Amino acid sequence: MAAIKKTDALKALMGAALALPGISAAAEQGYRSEDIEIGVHHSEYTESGDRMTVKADQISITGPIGRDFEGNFSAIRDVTSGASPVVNFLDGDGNPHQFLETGASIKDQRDIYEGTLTHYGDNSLSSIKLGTSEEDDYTSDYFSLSHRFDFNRKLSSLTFGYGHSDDDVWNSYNPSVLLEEPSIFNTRKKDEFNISFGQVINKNTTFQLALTYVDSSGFLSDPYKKAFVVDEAFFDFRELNGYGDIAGLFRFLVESGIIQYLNDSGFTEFTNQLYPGLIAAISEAILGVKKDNRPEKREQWISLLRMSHYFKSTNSALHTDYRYSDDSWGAYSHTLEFKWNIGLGLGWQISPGVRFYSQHSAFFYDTFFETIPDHGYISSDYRLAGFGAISKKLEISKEFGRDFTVYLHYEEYERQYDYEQGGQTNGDPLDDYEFTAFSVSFDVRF
Amino acid sequence: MCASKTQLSPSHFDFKAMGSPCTITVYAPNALDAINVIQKATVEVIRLENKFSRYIKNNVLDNVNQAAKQGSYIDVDDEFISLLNYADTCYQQSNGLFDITAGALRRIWDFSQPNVSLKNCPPSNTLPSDTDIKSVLQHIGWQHVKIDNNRVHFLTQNMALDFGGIVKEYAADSAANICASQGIKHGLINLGGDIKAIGPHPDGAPWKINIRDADKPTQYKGVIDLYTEGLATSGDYERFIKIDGQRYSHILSPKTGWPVKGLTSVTVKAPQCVIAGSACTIAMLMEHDGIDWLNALGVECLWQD
Repeated sequence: MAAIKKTDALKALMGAALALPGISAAAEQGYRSEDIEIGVHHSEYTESGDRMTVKADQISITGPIGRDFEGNFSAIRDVTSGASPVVNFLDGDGNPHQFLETGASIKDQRDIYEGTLTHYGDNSLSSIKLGTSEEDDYTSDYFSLSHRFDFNRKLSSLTFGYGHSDDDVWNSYNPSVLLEEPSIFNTRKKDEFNISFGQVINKNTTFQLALTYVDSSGFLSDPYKKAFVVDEAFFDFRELNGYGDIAGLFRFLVESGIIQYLNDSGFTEFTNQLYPGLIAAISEAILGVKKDNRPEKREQWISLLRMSHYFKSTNSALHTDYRYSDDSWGAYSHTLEFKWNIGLGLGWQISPGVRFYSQHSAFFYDTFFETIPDHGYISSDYRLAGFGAISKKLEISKEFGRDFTVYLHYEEYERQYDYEQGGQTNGDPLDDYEFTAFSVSFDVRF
Repeated sequence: MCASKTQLSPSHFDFKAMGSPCTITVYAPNALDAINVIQKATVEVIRLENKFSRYIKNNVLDNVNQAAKQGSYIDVDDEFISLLNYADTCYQQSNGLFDITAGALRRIWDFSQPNVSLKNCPPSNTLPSDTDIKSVLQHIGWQHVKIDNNRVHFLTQNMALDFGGIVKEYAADSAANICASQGIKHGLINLGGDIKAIGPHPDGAPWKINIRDADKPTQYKGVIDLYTEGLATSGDYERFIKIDGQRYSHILSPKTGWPVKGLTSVTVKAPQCVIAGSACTIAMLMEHDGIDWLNALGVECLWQD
């Protein structure tokens, strides 16, 4: 039978029929949507201390294809600006200080296009996703497959997933920036295997256990980040007992605007173009600023345990997630998250949530190095440090009629090196930061 | 996967509810599952019958109709309100032809005995007088009903609600959804011709529904395939009265107070049985314009005039 084009009258009747309790109850249980749904999403995120600001926009469209298939297409653009830590210098007292790249260097736009095709079987759900992500200094092409079987009268399900991505990484060499390296070009790839078991325990409680193995290989270093190695510097500035303060010198150069002036006036660019790599080479030989260098292989094993319980008395559902990620780099982590969805009636829903995170430092991470370790790997990237974080979230949504829903999302994130659980590993308060994120989005059905 | 499908066997259960013969058919892995799910679905049909039947005293509908008779108000539950909202949508979409307050006309037109003939039912052998009809029409009109949260106000006296064309169909949808929520993927609910498919046969073949000829009930005038849709027929051969050889439909126009003319019967297929039921009733009420309206609505239908 040819697809029926829905008239306004039929839509009105459908809408009113789906509001009937005997019909809506089952209509929500994983039936393929017969409507075309459009979602628009805007979010903003600002880190403390003049660091990153990210603005992201997303549009997605989902619709039925034939009897059993559903297609989804999403386009996302995010723009990152601000400053990111590049290297930590020591002051005359031997304490590390962060050197942030100036604003001009980081203004990155990322475009992501993703398509998903989902098949709704009698007792199965299969999907294939293809996507590409492009930035000034990064491209990633990826695909993933997943297949879910339902059994035990749909009370149990088993999901198998596989994902693969091929990435190209380079640095968008900007000769107007002091510590940038000339262009590099490298590749990395990632394979991900996932198995997940879901069980409906009773009418109000569900449980999920998932195991994921991630294998990354290739160039996994960050081409913008450096590490300070005391031995590699021309001179150990600590011996000056506070008279020669390399961190203070750089802070002075940044705060007085001298570096900005050198960059803006064209001096940096002139020097870099005349002698490509000279400034970087000098800083490496004299100041001991070495390139970020990480192992070319990383394996992670992530286990997730999820429980959801519905409380009829308060018309609310509590979701609890615990995740443990083991890591061949040593940056293993624990995440505990609670989210409480409360239906308030008249289409209002409010969802407070809190997440606790604790990470051990990677074996090749330190804020600075006395000497290059025997294994040769070094990184001062704050993301590989030992730290803990607490994030508080609040989401409020309101349905207007059956066809329009608005979501507001607010998040406060606080990262502290001493929030790490089970003993402090390499980390430092200089990497502590906070951010707040706010996003608004809406869904429309046709 | 395929092996498990072939193990499914169909179970049927026949019962009588809502004044009609009903059948529930489900494919379940074993007889115990089938009995369990059929029992739950049957309980749902009986629940809705007890709540909304016009023939049961002191049920929810009767209480509401007491308030309707007095022109007062009454508090009802969310399900009742959502059915009133559905009826309101039908009223809007039919320009006021589908009006559940036309129930007041039942006081002067009695179709409670299906296919009555002159000698069986003497009270029905005469037509109501124009005066009777006029006086009843004053108490008909959805605009005289106001809903405020869960309270229904009747703004005039001697009103009555009639969920014909909605409740039996809604019961079919609800029973089908209960089966689906119990893991049944293949089956059919048939409440006296108001039908909702839970899902096609296990091999993917649709349910073939033979549509009876209204004039010759032993013959079929067509077949409609159902996978997950609902199907309903209005104006079928079972419910009409004959007076002086003239056949009168049990569908009464809220505008004229008279049985509708034009179409003998209409069968509609729609995503939900409740939509099929109200759409075919609206088509009957629209008389000669009914088929155009159904075509514009965009639903599959079979009809006889």
